Amino acid sequence: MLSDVIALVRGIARSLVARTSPAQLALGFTLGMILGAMPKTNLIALALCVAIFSLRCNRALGLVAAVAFSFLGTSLDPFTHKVGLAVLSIHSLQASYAWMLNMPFGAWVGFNNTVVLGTFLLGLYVAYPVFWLSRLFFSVLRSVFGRDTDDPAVFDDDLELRIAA
Amino acid sequence: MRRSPRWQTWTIRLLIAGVVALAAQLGLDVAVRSYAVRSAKAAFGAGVEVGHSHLSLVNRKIRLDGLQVPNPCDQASHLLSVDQCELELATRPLLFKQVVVNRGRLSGLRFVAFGDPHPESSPDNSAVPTVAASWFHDDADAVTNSWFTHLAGRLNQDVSGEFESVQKTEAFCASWAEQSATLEAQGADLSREAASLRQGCEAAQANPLRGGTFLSDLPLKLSALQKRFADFNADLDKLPDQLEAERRAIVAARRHDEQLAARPLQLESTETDALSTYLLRDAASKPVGDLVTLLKWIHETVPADAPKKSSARRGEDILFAGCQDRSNIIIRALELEGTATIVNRAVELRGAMSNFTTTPALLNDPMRLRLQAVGPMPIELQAVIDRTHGVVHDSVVLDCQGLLIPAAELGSPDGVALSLAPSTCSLSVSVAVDGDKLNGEIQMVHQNVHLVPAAGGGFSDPSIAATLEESLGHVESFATRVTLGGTLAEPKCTLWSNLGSATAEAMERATQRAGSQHTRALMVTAGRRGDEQLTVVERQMTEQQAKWKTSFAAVSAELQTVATEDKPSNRLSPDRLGRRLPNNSLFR
Repeated sequence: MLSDVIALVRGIARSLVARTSPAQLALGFTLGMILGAMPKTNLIALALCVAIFSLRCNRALGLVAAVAFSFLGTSLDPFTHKVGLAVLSIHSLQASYAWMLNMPFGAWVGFNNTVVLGTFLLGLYVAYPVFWLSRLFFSVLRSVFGRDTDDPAVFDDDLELRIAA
Repeated sequence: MRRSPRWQTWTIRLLIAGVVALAAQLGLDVAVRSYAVRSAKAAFGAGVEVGHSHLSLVNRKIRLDGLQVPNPCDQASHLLSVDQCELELATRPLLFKQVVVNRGRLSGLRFVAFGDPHPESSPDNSAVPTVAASWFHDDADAVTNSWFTHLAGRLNQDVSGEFESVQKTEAFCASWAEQSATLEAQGADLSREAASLRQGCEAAQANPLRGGTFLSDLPLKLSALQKRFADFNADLDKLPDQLEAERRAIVAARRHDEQLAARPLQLESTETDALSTYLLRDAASKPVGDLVTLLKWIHETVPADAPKKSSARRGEDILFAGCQDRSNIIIRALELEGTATIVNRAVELRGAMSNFTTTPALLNDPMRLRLQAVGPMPIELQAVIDRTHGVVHDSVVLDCQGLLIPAAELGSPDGVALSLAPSTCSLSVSVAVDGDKLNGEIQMVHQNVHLVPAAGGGFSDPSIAATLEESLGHVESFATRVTLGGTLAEPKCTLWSNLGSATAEAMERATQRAGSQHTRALMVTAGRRGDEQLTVVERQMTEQQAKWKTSFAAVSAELQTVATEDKPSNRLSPDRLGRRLPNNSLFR
């Protein structure tokens, strides 16, 4: 029984780390974290979603992180609301904010929402530390599970491009 | 050298593009449907069912089919339903997160007004008229029932004691009883005296010496007694004349009584408004209740202030200086076409709605609705929902002609009820809501009216019912006006109708007629009873006359005999006795 569980965890871990570098995994996780924490009905979230699917990162991990942080995001709302409110209340930037909001698509961006802006800024603030820590974590994970595979294409990010070229 | 892609590659890419386009179209349709349902729920507070939705990016049109708004009071029925809704979107406001519909069209609109589509399935609706009934004149029932009691009291009142003839008869009978007793006593006294005189006479004749003095006074006594007999007889002889005089006086009093009876009854006038309220309150409660419920719903659904933040929404949208808060959804002009079921009769309606928005407080123009129906039941409805400057000002003006009103029962079966046969009615409504204050009038003119009274209680007499029916049968139309006041939370209604005055007049006439008949019947009864009493008195007089005359005749004859027998030659007197004594007698 226990061996089945261990085998399942190993399978998931191997599928995560297979053919993907720790940096790509860490980038996908970081983008997914920011996306998951913020409200989705705005262009910032859409842009993050596009980034996950456009950048060379692990999309699956990004989506998993987005779903996971969707549940955690609401608990951060009181703090992110304060952050966003503080930023949006900067007096010297009011005219710029107004100009942006009055631009086409300005209302769709959603930057005038305190939680959206607060979550986004908080996400940017913790992005590099999360990226660094997660890359370290996935490196360790790769060292544990990467030895099991003999596939030379493992971790080779540019293999497909090189084959296509 | 770069090679161009093969046609197979292009075909696959086109297929993928087509599939993506179809998926996007399907996704947009679903998104539009979801947005419509959410927006309608936010706007109306009730879930809206949308059968099918379609968004055409090329034509910038949204089409929603099978819209249904469930009735909040009765989930089984729909407040309104729309077959098709076509909305023409403006593109530029979309860039600013605004949905602006420049032109739209609702076709196949169906709703019910002033009618109960499912009376058996809506138990909550029965509470509306009950609540609305309490908005009317509270004392109407008490005032009206008091008046009914007064009328019934006057109707069944026994006024025979007030007739002068009856009073005279009673007084004469009472005086005759005393007079008869006096005569009886006098007669008995005379008889006793005659008997005493006779006995004294007999004793004196038996012993002339001892009764000499008595016998010498006898003629005087006899003549005195005879005189008393003659006076008594004279009194007895006067009795028929006295009776005749009294009878004439009683007959004269009866004529006076007849004149009095011909006078109308003194009836208290009632508050005709209270009677109108008593009769029409229940019938007016439902439409008034429905109207106030509609105004309340509009007041609650369309707030005067800016929309409140949804609890499900995260964060707060900051509005910067220089930015204008805009409405989310604006429909500039919407054509309406459909069918309304008004008092269970389908009417084709056409109209337009302008400046509909989910956030009317942010718009500078009020919402306007205009509906019009032509044909046998012309209707014109104009409604304005104004929330500009954060002030509530709603107004509804409705003018409807030829409204078919079903049969109805007016009033209470315990008191006086009227059965109103199906009739036509012209309805005029003008109601305004300023803030929370309610102000307006509802006017109805019923025509081709046929009223059948169903009087109960003290008015169940057939003659009264016939008179009422005859009087109310002339009522061919009546007008009713309900004045609305107070607030939306506590409305006050004042009802005026000429039906109240017509009914009061008919009831007074019926009461007068029935009262007059009742008084005449009482007069006839009292006259018969008086005649009987006079006959008894006459009989008693005759008997008394006969009795005493016979008795006195015998006594008088005896006294005459006594007086005849009492000759002075046969009588012993001291002189005569003295003369017979010898001259030398010691007693001389």
